[in-house]
Amino acid sequence: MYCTVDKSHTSGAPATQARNAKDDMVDDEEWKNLGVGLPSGVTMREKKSGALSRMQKLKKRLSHSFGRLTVSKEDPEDHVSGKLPYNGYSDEFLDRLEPNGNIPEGKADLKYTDWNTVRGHNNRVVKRQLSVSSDSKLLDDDIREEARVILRPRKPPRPKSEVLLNNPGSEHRRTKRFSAFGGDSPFGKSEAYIKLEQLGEGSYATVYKGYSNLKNQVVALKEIRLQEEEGAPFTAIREASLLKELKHANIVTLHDIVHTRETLTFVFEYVVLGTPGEEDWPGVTTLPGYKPHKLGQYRPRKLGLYWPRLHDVVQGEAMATALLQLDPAHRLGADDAMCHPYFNGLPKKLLELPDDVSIFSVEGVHLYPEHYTAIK
Amino acid sequence: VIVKNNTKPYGKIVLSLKNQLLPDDKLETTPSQTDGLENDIETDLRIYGCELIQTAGILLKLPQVAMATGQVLLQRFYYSKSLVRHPVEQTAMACICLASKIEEAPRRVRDVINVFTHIRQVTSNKTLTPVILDNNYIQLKNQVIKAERRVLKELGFCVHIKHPHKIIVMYLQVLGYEKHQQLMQYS
Repeated sequence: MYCTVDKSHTSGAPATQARNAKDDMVDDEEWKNLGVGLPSGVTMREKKSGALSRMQKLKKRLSHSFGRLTVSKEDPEDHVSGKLPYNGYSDEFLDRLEPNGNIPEGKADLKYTDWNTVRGHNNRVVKRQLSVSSDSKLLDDDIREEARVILRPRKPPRPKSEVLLNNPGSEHRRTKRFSAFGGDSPFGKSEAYIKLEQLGEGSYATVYKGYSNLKNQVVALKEIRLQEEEGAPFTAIREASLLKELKHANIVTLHDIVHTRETLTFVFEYVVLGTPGEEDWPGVTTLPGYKPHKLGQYRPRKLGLYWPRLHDVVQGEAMATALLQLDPAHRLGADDAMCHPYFNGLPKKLLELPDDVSIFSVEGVHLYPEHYTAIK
Repeated sequence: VIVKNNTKPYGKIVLSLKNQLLPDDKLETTPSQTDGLENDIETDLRIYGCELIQTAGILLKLPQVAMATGQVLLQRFYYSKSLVRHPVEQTAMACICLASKIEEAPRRVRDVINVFTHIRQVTSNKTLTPVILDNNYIQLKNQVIKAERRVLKELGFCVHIKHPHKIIVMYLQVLGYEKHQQLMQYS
């Protein structure tokens, strides 16, 4: 091996060049051997001053293809001029990737490595870097000192479990939050909600009216301020944990939780029936917990605003509103509901039908299927 | 994201592979194994984490329920996150903080850090030195709070856990063993 290398330096230079151009990736072992063999090549070059320019070209070429080669064959001139400050690499070289896209040997030792580039490659890259770092004792002490300043703490490669989360083909970079917090679920992100107006404020949290971009509906955002000191307050944890399990018509539903460093936001359904008053809930003002200044006064909104389909059906909204009264005295009973103008389109005979006779016995009454999505 | 949200909270220390909480495939390949951690080492780390929580809980004078809760939280967390990525000690700290809050006996993060440092000093036979309020401490505290947030997020805030101990005691009573001190303690 020694012989061949020496030869290539004296007479076979073009051949080496051609070889360099051909294979960009050279086996670790091969270039180690080259590195050992080279000093004799250097001495030969000093004898033959005529071949110097050609040799310099070759040397440049070599230093580009086999990074570490230059370590062992640095010549005094370069030291003086300081052209190659880092272990014999020129600045240009340091900023350059090998043609195959790998990071050049030894470069990882000197400069911060972008692991995202490394990650895509196979084990080979990692193995090579290890072999180089074990060689780093070759560095002069002062050069190493110099290098240490440039060295930034190395990031370890991302564990596989999280790498897998990233789509290997996708180009756009995932943020750290991506893997740390629940993958690419659109929920749990503050960007999904727009704060519209403040509805109320307590000692514990502020409630905003908001809009959900995910569900395209109005929501209530309860924003809890977090003290930096002790993490999430246990009242909030309890509230969230219990509300998650509670699903009941009379309990406000918890849609989502957005947890950031400063705030914890609960996304609730927006209740449209308004604050209960004496006229729709007799006796509510005498209840011990009734504090209108804390609850805020909200007027009920028309149901048709939230369920547009009620608008489309003749008398639909009026019927639904009449049925959804809190006070039983004002609520529409079943018998009265049958007389509601909503049912005007039905044959009169239906109202006189005895209890034990099916309504489908009346002529013109049919059951039509309705799409589930249309009901909501 | 989390599978176990739909199931009822159940179980104490989940070390066995036969577990009613998670489907078998979820148990067989944990995120830590995906990262190349060996099964035995993972089990050891889990046990270590749980023992840390138990010891720290005793030192913090927490009720036993809180320790059990913390242990369940830790075990569940590591079925959705990898031990390689998230150090077990910090997560254990976060879990015990969280558990103390859930079981309504809150402990300060400061106390938890003190106790964990104490445990580490005792187990490695070092001289006992108090925790100094320096940059390291502040950083550690932030990390614990962050880990707590991560646990909450991973478990989807489903942190109220029903422990089987009461049921075991009930069964023992049915079987007429309520006077049997040793069996009752085992539960």
